[in-house]
Amino acid sequence: MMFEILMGLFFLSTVVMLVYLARHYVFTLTVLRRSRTFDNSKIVATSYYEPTVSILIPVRNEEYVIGKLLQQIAELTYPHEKMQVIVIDDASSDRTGEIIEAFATRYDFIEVLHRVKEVGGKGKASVLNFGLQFVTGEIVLFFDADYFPQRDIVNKLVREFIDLSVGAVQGRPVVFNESQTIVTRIVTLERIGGYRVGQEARDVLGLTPQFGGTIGGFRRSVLEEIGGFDESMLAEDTDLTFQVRLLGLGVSYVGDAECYEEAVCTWKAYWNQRHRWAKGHMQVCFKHSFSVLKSKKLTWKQKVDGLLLLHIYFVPVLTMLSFLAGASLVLFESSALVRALWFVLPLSFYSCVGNFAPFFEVGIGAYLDGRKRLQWLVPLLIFACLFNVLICTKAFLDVSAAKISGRGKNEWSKTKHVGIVNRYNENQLLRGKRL
Amino acid sequence: MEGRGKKVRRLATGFNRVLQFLFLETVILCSIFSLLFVNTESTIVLFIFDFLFISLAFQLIRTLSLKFGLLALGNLFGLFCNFIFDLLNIVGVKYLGEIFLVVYTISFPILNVSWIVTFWSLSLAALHNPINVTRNQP
Amino acid sequence: MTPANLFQIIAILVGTSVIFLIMFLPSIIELRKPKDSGPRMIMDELPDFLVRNHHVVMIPHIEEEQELEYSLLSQLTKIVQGLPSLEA
Repeated sequence: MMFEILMGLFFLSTVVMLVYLARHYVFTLTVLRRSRTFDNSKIVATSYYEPTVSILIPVRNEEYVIGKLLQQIAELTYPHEKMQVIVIDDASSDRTGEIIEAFATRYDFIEVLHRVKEVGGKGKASVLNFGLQFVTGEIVLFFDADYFPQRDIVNKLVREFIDLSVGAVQGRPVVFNESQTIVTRIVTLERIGGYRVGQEARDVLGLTPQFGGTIGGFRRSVLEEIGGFDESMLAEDTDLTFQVRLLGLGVSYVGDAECYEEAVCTWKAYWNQRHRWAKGHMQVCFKHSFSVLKSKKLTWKQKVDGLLLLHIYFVPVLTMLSFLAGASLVLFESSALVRALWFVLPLSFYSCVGNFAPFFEVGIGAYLDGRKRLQWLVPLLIFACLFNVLICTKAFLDVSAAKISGRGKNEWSKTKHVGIVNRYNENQLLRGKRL
Repeated sequence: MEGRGKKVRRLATGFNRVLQFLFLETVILCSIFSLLFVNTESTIVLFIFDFLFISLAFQLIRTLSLKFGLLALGNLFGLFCNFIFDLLNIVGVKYLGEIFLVVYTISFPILNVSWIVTFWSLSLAALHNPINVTRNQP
Repeated sequence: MTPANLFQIIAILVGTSVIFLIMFLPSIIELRKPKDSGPRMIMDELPDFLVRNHHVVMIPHIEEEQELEYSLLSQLTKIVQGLPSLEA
């Protein structure tokens, strides 16, 4: 009986991981082929499309960075008369409010909203929902305070909306503090795999690129229809991605709309950040899996990929279970099928990192980015993989426990960056409640 | 003068073809040696490496000779690694007993993929071409 | 356990460690002496505060690289060109 259970678990989990491996292989092939044939007629056609744009920037205690971002925003190439920048100061206790006020006084397209301590500090989703009440632009973009965008990023992001079937856009983050620690270098590799190859392939294949919470945006009409961000979700950006998809609209990835970001630089911060992402993503999975499956607005290809994307944070858990089951079977029973699957299994280990890109995807992404020696660090991803297995397993246990007990809990988690940035990113789990 | 240039080009092309054929032969021989002198699993891993390399790295814009050369080198490296691991298994089981067999059985698949990842990353660095590498395209 | 066996076991362990070292040697080299550590350039000008605060060295823009890489073929072609013509 035990043997049958182990065999079934091992077989099923290995097959699932092979499916993910095949998916990423197709992504890598797609991006490679695209890099050889490029059609720039799309840029010419859309370069004159300039709708009104609202940019929301939620901030809390960002006195060291907000000034730099707003200065860059003031120098954006997009026509200022078509831009509305709303900076939402969420009960900051430092000089953030003063700095933003100074910019608002100087530039008439920059507005400030202050939230007092009594109503503030309830999470990023809450802040953004508050800000959404004041937007007037046709397109709403979001930037975090510690990001540093290109000057023409708004032009690049907005041109995608000329296609009426596009409901959302996502740009590309580029790690700036790459050389700081080994963690930042690993995060750089993850970002390259996930964005340069993963997101781009999903865009080219008409699947579901993900909105990452920043360097992206939506049509205002779509946000109004959806009702804004779900404040009960830890990963409100992923939730919104699927809500847009379920409306039958597309998410467009704009690879050349790039923005510098500061990556986490310690293993502790990496754990906290990824743990939050994993939990949030699993919540979204539970919320949307069935809807994606029965949606009449998605093709079968989009449904399959959507489901694979929703369940992606379960893959490391599956890898661990598969490894344990496989090890037991290989030691006590050495049939040809077991041994064959056992040998395929390790290829999936290198898939369980960060943005879930296997080593070949990360390597090709770095190659296409013109990196000469960054690929030499790819073997180190095995350590990040093992770390992610632990993170996702913990997240799975936390989410399962929360579901079984039927209780949510308030959780404050701040991703702290070493150096000049204190990133505002607080999450709150309110079961079933929307503010 | 032009005729001499054409001759040189033809000679170079012929030389390239011979080189590529030699590299391909090396790849095939590695697979055969792996099957005969190591084990079946190692041969399968070599095939996986060949599949990944040919389907992905061969699409990069570099000379075919270089790609075949790296493919052959990868196979030689893989064969060497698998051979060493197999020796490790034989000697380890002989002196440390069944415990070593358990450890080896569990860790061997991961060890086997490690060399693929290392060689893959080195190959991509070797195939780097600043002229032909693309930037993000809209 | 005889001294010969002990020696062989030590040899196995050393050999295994060497193999692991080889597997991670490129990564160790890049970490110790990075030649590709800077962030990728995504804009023409960067404010000083970003470069200063993060102590980064920017890697050059791809299209700005002037160095050429000579493939094995080019070098061999040069050698072949130097050979006497068979027709002459």
